[in-house]
Amino acid sequence: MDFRLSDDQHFFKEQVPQTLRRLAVPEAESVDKDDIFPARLFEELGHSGYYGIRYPAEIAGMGADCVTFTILAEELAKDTLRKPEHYYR
Amino acid sequence: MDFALTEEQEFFKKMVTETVDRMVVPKAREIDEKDEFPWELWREFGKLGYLGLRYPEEIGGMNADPVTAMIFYEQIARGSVGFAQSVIMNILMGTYFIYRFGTEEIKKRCLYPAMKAEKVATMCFTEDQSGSDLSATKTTAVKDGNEWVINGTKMWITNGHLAHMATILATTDPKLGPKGLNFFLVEKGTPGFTPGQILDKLGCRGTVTGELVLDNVRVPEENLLGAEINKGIEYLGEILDEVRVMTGAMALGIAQAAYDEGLEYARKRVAFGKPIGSYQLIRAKFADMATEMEASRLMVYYGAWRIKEKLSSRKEAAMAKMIATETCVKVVDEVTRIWGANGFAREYNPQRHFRDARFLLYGGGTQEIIKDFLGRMIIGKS
Repeated sequence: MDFRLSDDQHFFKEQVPQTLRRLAVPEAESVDKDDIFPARLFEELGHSGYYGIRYPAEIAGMGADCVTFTILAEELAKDTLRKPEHYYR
Repeated sequence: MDFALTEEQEFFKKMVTETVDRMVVPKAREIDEKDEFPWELWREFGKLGYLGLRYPEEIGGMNADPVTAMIFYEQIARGSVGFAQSVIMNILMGTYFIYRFGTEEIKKRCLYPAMKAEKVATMCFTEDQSGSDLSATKTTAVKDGNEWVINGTKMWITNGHLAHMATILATTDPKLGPKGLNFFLVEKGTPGFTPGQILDKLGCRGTVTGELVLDNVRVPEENLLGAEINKGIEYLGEILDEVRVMTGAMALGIAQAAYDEGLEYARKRVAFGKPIGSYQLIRAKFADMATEMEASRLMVYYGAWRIKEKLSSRKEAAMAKMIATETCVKVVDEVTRIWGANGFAREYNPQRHFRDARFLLYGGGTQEIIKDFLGRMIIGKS
């Protein structure tokens, strides 16, 4: 029994919010208010490689396990639409 | 991250489950109805070595880590929580301070026999006006030459009248509050140490619970169980989290026993031509119960794992106790509903689980105290 994240998972958990904060700032309010698909943000997330998170490294995926994917899902939901003034609390 | 038990823990779980199914489950109803301490079963558990669960192999113990110990606490409570309370008192609270601070002479007289079920142990914290609030302890210990003189009345003492040894919480000065508390070993037969009222309890029957009176009880200096005076609260901190997680583990055990009864009934009992388990309202109960039990189980074993790894565990232990106990109370309630009027009949087990579950709300600190403590930890002191 070991409830700890691995070093890789721990690093990923710290890195994802940083990336999201960098990418999502301009859209944070408008996505909710204007109800328009944030195409730029969607594309940027693709450049960061997150869409390949569950696929093998040989086909340019991240080869990440399900726990790591869950970290991404949680951080995405938490941070993408957070208002900028809440970022640095 | 790895949620699996080790091979050794899996083996232990299988062995304990089998022992409980064979030896405890068939006696549970009788233990509850007679409300008598099951001496024969007690001795058999001693022979199997379970009473030395937490102590090192060098002194005849099983050397179980906190995760392994939780497996035991959960399983034995699944069988009979009345019996479980007595056994766990010997394993953990009733002997810990003797193990930690007792002289070799004291250990020979008290600890080693307790590990073999030859002697019964207890720990006396609660009084009529203090329990969760230990700083209000009124029992006093005054030094007189090379003896301690103890006066006070202890209440809600598990194994009370049967216990051959008691770890008594007493203050050297009530004005000092929690900083005046100490543990003292008092053995049965010491002049002035007498049993009082026995409680007639709603549940957890079979374990004797009652009052112990200390009237000018004199014990030698070495019966102060502590390296230093007035450090009792600090020493209590060494097992407090394990006691809370253990209470959660017992809650899991009762919940599982009730749930299993509910599941069997829902599959068999027919209403309007179909098993009641095929109706959405009953199915929804199982979805809720199974999910909440699993969440509680994760929290209990997470708490135990943190204790094992020597990580901070005060918050997690309180959370584990809280969620597992609430889940247990909810599950036993739902199962009596699933059983309908039969859940109300003494002939069947659900009513016993329903009664037993209640005690875990108060044991190990009331839910209200635990919640307040957690809230303060989270928000900060004000």
